[in-house]
Amino acid sequence: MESVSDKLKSLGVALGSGHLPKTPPPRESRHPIETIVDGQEDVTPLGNTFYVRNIYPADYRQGRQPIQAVAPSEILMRYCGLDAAISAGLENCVFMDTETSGLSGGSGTFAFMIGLGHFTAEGFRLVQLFLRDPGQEAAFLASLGRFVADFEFVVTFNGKAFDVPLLRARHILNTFESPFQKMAHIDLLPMARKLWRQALPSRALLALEQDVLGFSRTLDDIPGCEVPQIYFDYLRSGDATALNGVFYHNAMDIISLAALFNHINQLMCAPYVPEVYTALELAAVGRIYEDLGMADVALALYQASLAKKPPATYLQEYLLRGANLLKRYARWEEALAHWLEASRSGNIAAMIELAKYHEHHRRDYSEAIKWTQTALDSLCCNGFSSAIRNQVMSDLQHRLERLHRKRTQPR
Amino acid sequence: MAENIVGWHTEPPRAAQWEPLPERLPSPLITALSRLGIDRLYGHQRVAWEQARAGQDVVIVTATASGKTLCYNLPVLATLLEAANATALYLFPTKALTQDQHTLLEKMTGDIGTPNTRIAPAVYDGDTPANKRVGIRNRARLVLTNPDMLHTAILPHHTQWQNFLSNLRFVVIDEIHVYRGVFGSHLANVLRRLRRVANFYGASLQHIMTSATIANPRQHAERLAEKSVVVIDQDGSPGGERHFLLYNPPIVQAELGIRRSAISESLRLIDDLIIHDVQSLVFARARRTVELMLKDLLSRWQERRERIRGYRSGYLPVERRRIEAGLRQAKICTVITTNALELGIDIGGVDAILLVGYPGSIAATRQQAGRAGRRENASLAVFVASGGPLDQYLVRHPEFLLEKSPEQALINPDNLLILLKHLQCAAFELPFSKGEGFGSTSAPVVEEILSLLEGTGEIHQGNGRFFWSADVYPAAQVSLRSISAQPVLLQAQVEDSFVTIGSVDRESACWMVHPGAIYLHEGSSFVVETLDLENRRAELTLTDVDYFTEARQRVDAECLQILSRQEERMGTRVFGEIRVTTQVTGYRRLRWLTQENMGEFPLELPATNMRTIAYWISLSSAGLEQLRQTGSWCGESVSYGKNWTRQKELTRRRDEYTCQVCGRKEVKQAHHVHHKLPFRTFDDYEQANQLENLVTLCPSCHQRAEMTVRMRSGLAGLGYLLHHLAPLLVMCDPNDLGVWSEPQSALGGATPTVVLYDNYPGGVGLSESLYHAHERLLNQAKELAQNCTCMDGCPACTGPAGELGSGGRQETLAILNLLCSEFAA
Repeated sequence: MESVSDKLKSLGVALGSGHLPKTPPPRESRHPIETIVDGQEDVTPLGNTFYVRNIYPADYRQGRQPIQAVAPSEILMRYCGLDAAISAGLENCVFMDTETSGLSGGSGTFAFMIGLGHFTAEGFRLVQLFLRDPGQEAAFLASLGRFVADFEFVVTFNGKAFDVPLLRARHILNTFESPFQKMAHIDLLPMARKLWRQALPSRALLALEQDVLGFSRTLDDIPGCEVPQIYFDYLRSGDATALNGVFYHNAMDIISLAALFNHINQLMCAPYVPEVYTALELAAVGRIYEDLGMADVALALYQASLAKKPPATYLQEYLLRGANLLKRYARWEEALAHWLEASRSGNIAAMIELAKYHEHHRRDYSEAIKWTQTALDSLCCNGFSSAIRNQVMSDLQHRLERLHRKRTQPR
Repeated sequence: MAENIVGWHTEPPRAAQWEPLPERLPSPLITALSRLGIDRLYGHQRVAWEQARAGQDVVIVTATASGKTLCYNLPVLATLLEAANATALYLFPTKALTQDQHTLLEKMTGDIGTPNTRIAPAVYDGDTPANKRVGIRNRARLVLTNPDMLHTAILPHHTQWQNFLSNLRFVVIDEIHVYRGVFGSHLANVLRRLRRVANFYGASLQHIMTSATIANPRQHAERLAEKSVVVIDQDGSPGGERHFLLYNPPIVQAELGIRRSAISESLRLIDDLIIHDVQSLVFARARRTVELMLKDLLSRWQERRERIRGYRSGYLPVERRRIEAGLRQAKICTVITTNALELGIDIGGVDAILLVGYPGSIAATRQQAGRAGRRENASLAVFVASGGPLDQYLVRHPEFLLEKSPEQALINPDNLLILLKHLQCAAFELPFSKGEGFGSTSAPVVEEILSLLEGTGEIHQGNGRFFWSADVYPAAQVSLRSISAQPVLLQAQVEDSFVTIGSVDRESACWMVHPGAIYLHEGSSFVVETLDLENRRAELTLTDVDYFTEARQRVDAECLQILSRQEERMGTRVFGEIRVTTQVTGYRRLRWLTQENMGEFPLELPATNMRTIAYWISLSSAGLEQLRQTGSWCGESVSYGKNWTRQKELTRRRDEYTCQVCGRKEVKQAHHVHHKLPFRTFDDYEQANQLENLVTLCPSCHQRAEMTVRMRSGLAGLGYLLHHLAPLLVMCDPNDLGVWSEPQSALGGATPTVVLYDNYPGGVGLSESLYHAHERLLNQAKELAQNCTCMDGCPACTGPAGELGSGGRQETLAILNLLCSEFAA
């Protein structure tokens, strides 16, 4: 009788990708995880799981940045959509990051390592849970549940989109509830995007680690994209040696997360000590405050940023942002100064604002026509895409017609 | 014109069988129905209600516009109203149909229920905006989608559907006859995955299916549901008097059997319908034809331009909705369409339907013709036949179109290649436990395949379970439209970039998308510029030519395993597994309308191997002997031209009056002179009678040689016939089947053999069914060959004459007479 394998082969299926050994190597040549990293067993009713525990002392620095026990600032809480009135004591926060079997998502992707960090009296304590075999996932998740049971806040980097939903799926598959469903979530990624959109080329954790914290990983680290294959190789061969690098990688992710958390909390104090920050940082923090509807603080930060002469590429944007807030407070003189300065460098938005100001506020239609015409003239030499240019052009022409009408038939 | 109407069938009006609304129908539904003007049900709707409410899995098989949707909507909505958590999943084959049904459902459910019991039907497909998806997953209780979306988006992310799946009660599958062959075999496996995942959440599903009329609704529905299913086929809807006319365009070239084109004849008929202001739908097979006909009509009917429209995929949705409304409100009189209007879209009924050529299946013909008829008014459907063999067969045998359909929808869910892919997807979705089967696939087979995947590293076995262990999202790599382990992507150049318009199996690439091939996609023609087999990619460009292409291939078939065989005195029929080696050697261009040959082009492509399922017929030596004795096989009935006597003499002298096969010298009687390439394959006698093409043979060797030539042509004619008739029985495209014939085939132990095989690795069930329909198929073939009016083979019977290996109507008929003689006995 022909085997399924032979039949599949003759149907054109390439089975076995060549580089894989047909059978796992004999037991004695294996290096189980216990012999590679120094860890312990957690005994749960659903079985045992393996974990590693380390303490990073209170004076530890990740690059330039110390990791100190600083409670999340009110602004950070508000930005994460959390009620700032609830006190998020640092003792309630757990920092989490997972290593997974893939990045594509879906119910076939699982976490095989979960790093959990939190501040204790002796320093920052890091626990890394490790899944020795996918068949032991229930125990692994039960152990996770025990480790995070006492925390109310989970702090992650992109955990809202990735780690937490993934763990939720794993819990559903094992028919129990994810502990994170009930916890408040502080995800630093959205804030990091806002803060470093202009200042840095990348907002990936690894990039922020280098550019913001001033930290470089050692050669022990392995790129995140190689992580799944290292785990699969371990599953096949039973040799855990290469997993050392994954433990290091995950530990650094958590430490950097804690350091970044510290750094962002400090940044949020910028309104009180503007002198220690750069023009870019002040403006970025200003945008956070503006997003949260704290226009007065935001305006102060923009003004402070402008006073520090930001790079020419961002100057116009800050001028307009500031002017926009000034307009809200009807501080027309100052707003006017911003628009005029921006328009001198050919900023069309500023010209339109000036036209609006003269039309609606001053009812000086001739001046408004002048600015509309200036905007139209500048449009051709602007870097807009043709679709946007056409839209803006048609809007401006509309405005121009209306202004001419208004000028000839004054109310 | 009247003489071209070869059949006129009148179906008497049919009164509705009314039934009262069920007593237990929830009152909000009664209100909703009355708002739609419904206060009673047709018989089949009531039966469907009873059966579905009793928990039966059902398939409803009734005519177009017989109110099939109510058959599932009533029991589903009733359950959803009674159980505040219950959910249902609807699958439709097209997005357009999904939208149409969604609109209908919204009308029905509009204000039903309290905020807690609201049903909120929602479409979840590729067009659903990302920001609406979460809400649908968490809240919708009735989700409308399609098989591809279920396969790639819902099942692999089933944990996001925990709520929906935990409470899933119904899966409704509309138009199941569409799911046949490869697509159907895939869907059967997607449904296995759905049931497996639902089962994980503690839900068990009830299937409600609908189908157009096919020969095997129960079998097909049961293969999809893997449960026994109740068939509801007593149509209780009313119908007006229906006239079905068969129109065969006049013959313009008798010898070659060429008729006037169906398109130009149809245009004449449409003129009459326009003059009499009869609202009509005209179904054409290709988008190109739609545009062609539309252009012609608009140019001649300037003053009525507004009332004549085209409709096909590629039109914007708003445009389509406007045409649909125009039809319902009778603002539009004539619509030329592709099959885009065939499935379900609500346009009410029209007065007349015109089918320009056979749509490819009886089910589609009936669905299209079923669009005629408004309430109880009389209606008309006209089938205008093209010159193809199926069209020509059907105009002579309208009973196929009018009576019980012979077409079977066939799938093979256990095709190993398809099964393998869905086991990968299923393992990704949920780990397999030891001893777990997959639908009707037994646990040992599942385990064997999973162990193989363990060998490739995709599966890890631990704690008695099989876990997916690869950084791959398997569903993304499985297309429900193809079967091959190695698909070739078809990329069309659109402006500056390449867009993937589809894929073909590696096994089919050489003959389907060889350089120069015309590839049809959604009715548009593309020409293949390059085929890169190594990188599995073909580059195509949009074109506008009036021909299609047909690959020439050399085939060799080797038997791997006989699965069943039946031996008769004259011949043997077998169904088994074979390996087909195909070498595409060239292609020819054939004119769309007439199938006229526009030229041959050579190709150099590598040979392809494919393992598949086949059905073949081999003549026995007794059969051969009988043919040899039949007069029609021998004798020179043709005049070989003016120089024949002289050339004959020269050949014998050259060959020293000796038979060039057995070496016997002439004694008394002169030896024969034989054409190496048959005389009729040449355009003129001087070419045919060149000395290089002639050879001296003794009478008995000559008879054997002649026999081989005739056998070759008879077998080729038989192959052509069977290949073109088979889709009538097994509902497939002719390209889904491969055909090959040979006078001395290894398959039949060096006897003359014709083989038909599934053109997909592993097979999709076509050949097996043909094997069982052997007698019927051969009788149909014999009749068609007998009744054709051509001289010696034409596109409508045994293939165009005058080419090597085809034509040969007389020889084909001799073989068919021989084989069919056994059925009578």
